[in-house]
Amino acid sequence: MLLIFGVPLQALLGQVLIGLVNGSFYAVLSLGLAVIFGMLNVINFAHGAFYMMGAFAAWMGLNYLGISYWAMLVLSPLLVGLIAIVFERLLLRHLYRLDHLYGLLLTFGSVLLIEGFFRGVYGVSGMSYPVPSMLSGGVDLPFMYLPIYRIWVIVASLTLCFGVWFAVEKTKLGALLRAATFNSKLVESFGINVPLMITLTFGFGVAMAAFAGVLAAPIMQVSPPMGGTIIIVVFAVVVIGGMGSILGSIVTGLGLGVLEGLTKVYWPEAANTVVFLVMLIVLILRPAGLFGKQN
Amino acid sequence: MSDMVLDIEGLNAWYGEAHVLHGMNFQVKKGEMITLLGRNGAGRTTTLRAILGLTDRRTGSIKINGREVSDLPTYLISRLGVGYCPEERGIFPGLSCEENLLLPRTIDGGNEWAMPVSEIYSLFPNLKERRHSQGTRLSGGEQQMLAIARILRTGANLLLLDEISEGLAPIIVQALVGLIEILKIRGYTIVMVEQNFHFAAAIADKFYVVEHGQIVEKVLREELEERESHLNSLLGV
Amino acid sequence: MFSLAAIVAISLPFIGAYPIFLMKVFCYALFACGFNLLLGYGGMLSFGHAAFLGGAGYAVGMAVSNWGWSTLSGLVFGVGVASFMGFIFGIFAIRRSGIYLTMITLAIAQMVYFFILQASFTGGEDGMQGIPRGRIFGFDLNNDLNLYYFVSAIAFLGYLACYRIVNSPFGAVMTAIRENEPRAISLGYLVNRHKLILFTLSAGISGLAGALKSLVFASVTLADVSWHMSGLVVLMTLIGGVGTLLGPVLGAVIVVVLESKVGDFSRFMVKLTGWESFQILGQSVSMVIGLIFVICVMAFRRGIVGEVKHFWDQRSRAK
Repeated sequence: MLLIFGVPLQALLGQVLIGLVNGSFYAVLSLGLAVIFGMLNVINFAHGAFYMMGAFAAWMGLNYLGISYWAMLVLSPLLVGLIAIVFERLLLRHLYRLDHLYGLLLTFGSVLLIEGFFRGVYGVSGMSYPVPSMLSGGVDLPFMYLPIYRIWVIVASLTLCFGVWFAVEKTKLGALLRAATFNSKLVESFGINVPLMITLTFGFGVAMAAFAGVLAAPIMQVSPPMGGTIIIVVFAVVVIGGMGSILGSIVTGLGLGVLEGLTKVYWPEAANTVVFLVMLIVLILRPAGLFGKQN
Repeated sequence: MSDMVLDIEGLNAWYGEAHVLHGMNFQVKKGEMITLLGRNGAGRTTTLRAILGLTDRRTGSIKINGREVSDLPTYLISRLGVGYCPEERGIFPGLSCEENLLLPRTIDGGNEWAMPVSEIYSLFPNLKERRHSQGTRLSGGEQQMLAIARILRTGANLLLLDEISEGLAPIIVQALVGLIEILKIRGYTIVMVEQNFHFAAAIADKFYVVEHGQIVEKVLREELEERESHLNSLLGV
Repeated sequence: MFSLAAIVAISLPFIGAYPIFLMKVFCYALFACGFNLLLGYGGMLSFGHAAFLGGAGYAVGMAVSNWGWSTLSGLVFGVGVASFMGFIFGIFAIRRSGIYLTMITLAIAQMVYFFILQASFTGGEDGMQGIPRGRIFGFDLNNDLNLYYFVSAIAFLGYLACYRIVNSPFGAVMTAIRENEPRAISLGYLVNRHKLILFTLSAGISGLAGALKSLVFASVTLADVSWHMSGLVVLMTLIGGVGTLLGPVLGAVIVVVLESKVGDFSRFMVKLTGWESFQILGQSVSMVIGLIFVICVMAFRRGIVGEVKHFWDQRSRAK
């Protein structure tokens, strides 16, 4: 048996895989946060709650209406995205002209509201969601066991992230988005319906979170607190990576996920907090973030 | 009154708590070119921005081609044919020169004012040359040309130009004069904010002096020579 | 003004108010006052203040339960630990500004949460129970009435400290920094040093509240260091009025009353509307807090004291 620093290779690679899975979630969520922040200048504290709603929608779809995982992968983001659009139109947009902190406060209050509601109805314990049959099982490789579902999560997340990167950097719509991020009022003076762009961007960013939620349902327990704990880590990811570049967010998210996985193997007590530690270090060495732009 | 492209009455505007415009009144006829003169902080840029609804709050009446626009959102006002060239030029980084040029929306309806890209490039040959360079890597003069070209492409025919000669070498300013003269011949209506009196004097029809958010003096082109010293004292030259 | 409040406070237990309930209010009010120093006067929003509240609580618990220190030493230790934490938070947080600063405070507070969760000496998920109240200046604090007078006296002193800080030259500089930082820098003020001092003071006062709270309830738990608690103090300050001295106190009163009455409120709403679904409000304090938060941010930004002040200002301007 091959040992790496005293840990069997199988176990190590297994943790690295889990780290990649977590990292994929960090990447998708931090990308959604960054896209929303770029356009709206609001940090969406509720991003974790929408992720949770995405997972719950999948669970409810299956248990109340018998809708399959595959259908929910599409329906859940649409549904939660729609809720987000209503939220933006009704509440959030009135705060744009004010200090940015009010947007944060509103989204924070919404987390308490949403999480509180779900906790009231479903309690705090997690509920399980079955892995879809097509993706169950795994491949037995000589150096490790490769669960198919986990590979699927990584592939799906990275495809989504890559798709967003392509859309933003290489398409006309993306050019509009980048310009509006820089100066939304000027873009509006060119006849572009920027308020609509803002609403749809928020909806899309949230839909991304809901998509991650559906992906997460079979491997993490579907529970009301699941959003709150992950969003704080994602905040740290965002501070570390800076919100200046899409590729930067992806790399940072994945990298930190893997780092977390490795830490669990070699220094388990620190696993929960290693991301925050990295954040502190980055704040000293490169306050703008690894890929951030100095304002 | 189909002659009246822009009709402003009792326009007041605020930035936050600051009351910047205290009742602007003026009209611009089709094909005319007005220059707003005045000291810094008088409210000239704010007037241009207020027309497009870019200030925090405004009251009063703004009519474009007879249509009241003071309750419309910025993008709808722009689609009526208003092109804005801001003082800071607003060239977007991360986009190439050509991407910047193509960014704005052309006005629907097969607008006869909209200049096709080929015509833009013949008017502005060095933009064609630099079209794949990053927008912000262009020289000051080229960025200014790009900012103007951008709105000409949309089909806007009421142009709001803010300090377009600022910071440019005299030879570029001369080229700008030539460009504006071409636009005038084609019948564009222009409202211009200018610090450079000589630049404005070469091309504008009317000169309005703005002070404390109001127009305090209107001078026609014919009267310019005899009123020059009076104007100079108003502007603190 | 103060003497009137003092008289009211002294007499409250005699008109039937429960001392423990009142002390909870005083602790939360002090917590909010400390928090508001940073937000209202420093312009910095911290989402991690629970670390100071709970951190001080755990420090007191350790000192008094595990090491057998006297109550007074324990309290001083608690405040010291919280102040030190505030200093550390400050060092990292002020390297960024605005929203980033807030996210950093949240992240560091979460680190503290996990540290306390996992450390062996903090009782993990159960927290620390049975913290002895001990004696102070010869008075036995196990007597609720004695404790009440002690806690209210300290809370008053804490409030006075906040008042003095705000109305001091230091406070004036902080206001200048908050309103126009580039200008303050150009005037030669050591902005970072001032921010750091404010962080430390704010944490210390919030820590004092936490230290007192651990004595009042003779316990401290993970809830005291959770982000929900950090959010709660933000809400108290928001409801009462950010940047006013009285606001946080008022907000604390409202929130504490609210927390204890949520069950009654939901029953009332069910009776009023006949909708069984209002029952759910009783299940989740979080939800009601969140709802009020949202309403405050959308429609009621100045908070109660802020609105009153605004109203008075409008009236005097109209004259």
